[in-house]
Amino acid sequence: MRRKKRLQPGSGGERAITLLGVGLLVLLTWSWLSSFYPTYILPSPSEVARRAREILGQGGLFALHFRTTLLEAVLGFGLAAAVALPLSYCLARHPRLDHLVTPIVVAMQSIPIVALAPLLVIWFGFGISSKILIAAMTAFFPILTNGVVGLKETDPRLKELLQIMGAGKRQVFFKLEVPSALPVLFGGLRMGLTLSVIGAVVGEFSGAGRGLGYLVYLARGTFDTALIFVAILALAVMGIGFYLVISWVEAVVMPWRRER
Amino acid sequence: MGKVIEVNDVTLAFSVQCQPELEGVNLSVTEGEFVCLVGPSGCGKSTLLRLVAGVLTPDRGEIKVGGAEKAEGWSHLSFVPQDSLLLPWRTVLANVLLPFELNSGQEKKAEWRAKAQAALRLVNLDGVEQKYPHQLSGGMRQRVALARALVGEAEILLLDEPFASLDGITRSQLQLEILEIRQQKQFTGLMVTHNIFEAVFLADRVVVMGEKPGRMLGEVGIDLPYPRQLKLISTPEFAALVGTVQDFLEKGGSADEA
Repeated sequence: MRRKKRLQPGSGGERAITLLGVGLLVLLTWSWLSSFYPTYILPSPSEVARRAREILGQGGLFALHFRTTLLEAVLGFGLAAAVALPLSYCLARHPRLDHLVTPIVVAMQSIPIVALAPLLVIWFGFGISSKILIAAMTAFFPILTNGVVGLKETDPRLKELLQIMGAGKRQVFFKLEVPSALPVLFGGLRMGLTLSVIGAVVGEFSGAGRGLGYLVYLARGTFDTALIFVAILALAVMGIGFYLVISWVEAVVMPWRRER
Repeated sequence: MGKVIEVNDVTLAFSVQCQPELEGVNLSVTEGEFVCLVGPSGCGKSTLLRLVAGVLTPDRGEIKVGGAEKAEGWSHLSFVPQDSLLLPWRTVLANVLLPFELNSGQEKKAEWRAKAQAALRLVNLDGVEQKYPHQLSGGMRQRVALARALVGEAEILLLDEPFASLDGITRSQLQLEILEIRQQKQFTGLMVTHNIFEAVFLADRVVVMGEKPGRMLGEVGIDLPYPRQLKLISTPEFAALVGTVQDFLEKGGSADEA
């Protein structure tokens, strides 16, 4: 059933061909443009590929940087979700608390994380913990706000109906409020996961000894522009990986949306 | 035959400044009876239904359901809303199973399933158990809502304009099905509608309400024989009853303007 769907127009097969075509077009344009510039400004695709092979050959060095950023982003995201989700439940449940906390949240959200990052590095060191914290702070707000909005999304008529059917508060929460919050909640998680990668890289820019952001920082200092491209591509691969994972989780958790 | 719904001199205002939504409303429904409430929109007939369902409490007066002071769970009553209100993340079967899940332990799953399937057959739904609500037509969704209300063996069925959002053909199909279900299954029904024809066609008794404030204008006993068929609506008896209901509505309206 699912395999059959994949071959239909508008789904998997057609998308892959479109992606391939666009990718090819970008590569050709890039390659053509790079012939006008020196390598330290715009390296050609083949130069980037050569540099990628080179660094991948250096005994797991690149994998170490990749793993570091991956770990920072995932742990940062996990920390953000672990704090934001229960808090969003409290805020959705108690409007007065929401009233008190929301201005603080908005104020904190408007502080650029780039400005905070050096401070956090000074406080929590050059290691991975400061990066996890920065990633968590970046990912925190969309998860929180979407959580609150999602939990407030419940149709009051459905709530009334469940009460008529004899549902208690607990049952209303688990059988109605949580499932109706899920689509919006996942929107926040999706955003948070992407932002946690950005947070990790920003943290690494502010002072680190490893990670893809550190690699970009290092490469900029030596005008190793091809290496910057390699790091960016690696970050893109990580982003796509996250996207695929969260899409899969969404499909498992919300099967009713799959068949739309 | 005892009275299963009793509304005594009930007044309800949503705020102090406004005119009361309902004023001095009386209504009683006996066991096994099917009563339709008709009235212009805004006359508080849906509010009255919510009072009976127990989600609102009156400012004055009392409401007795099933002899008890207040409604308590589905053992007494169940509710069919206007636009089905199915949980979109549940399959049809899981939606119909919901009343069981909310009210009893996990041990009787197989028994519930059989009952849910029987309820779906009762509303002429077959082979859609594993579908999601958004995959069904409006009429089918409303049938699922009906099955969900019938599954728990509730004694009292409250229906809030259950067919108002359906097209004419589906609407009369479902009206016939309600009549048929009443032949097969014993329950007391209280249904809100703004369609006089529907009320006369389905009810044992039609109660007419007026607006501003919501109050009772009168009631008309419908002594048309069962089983009722669609051709009934072209008989003179039917027309006369519709006329009587209409008279009550018009009198209520003119009294209001005077």
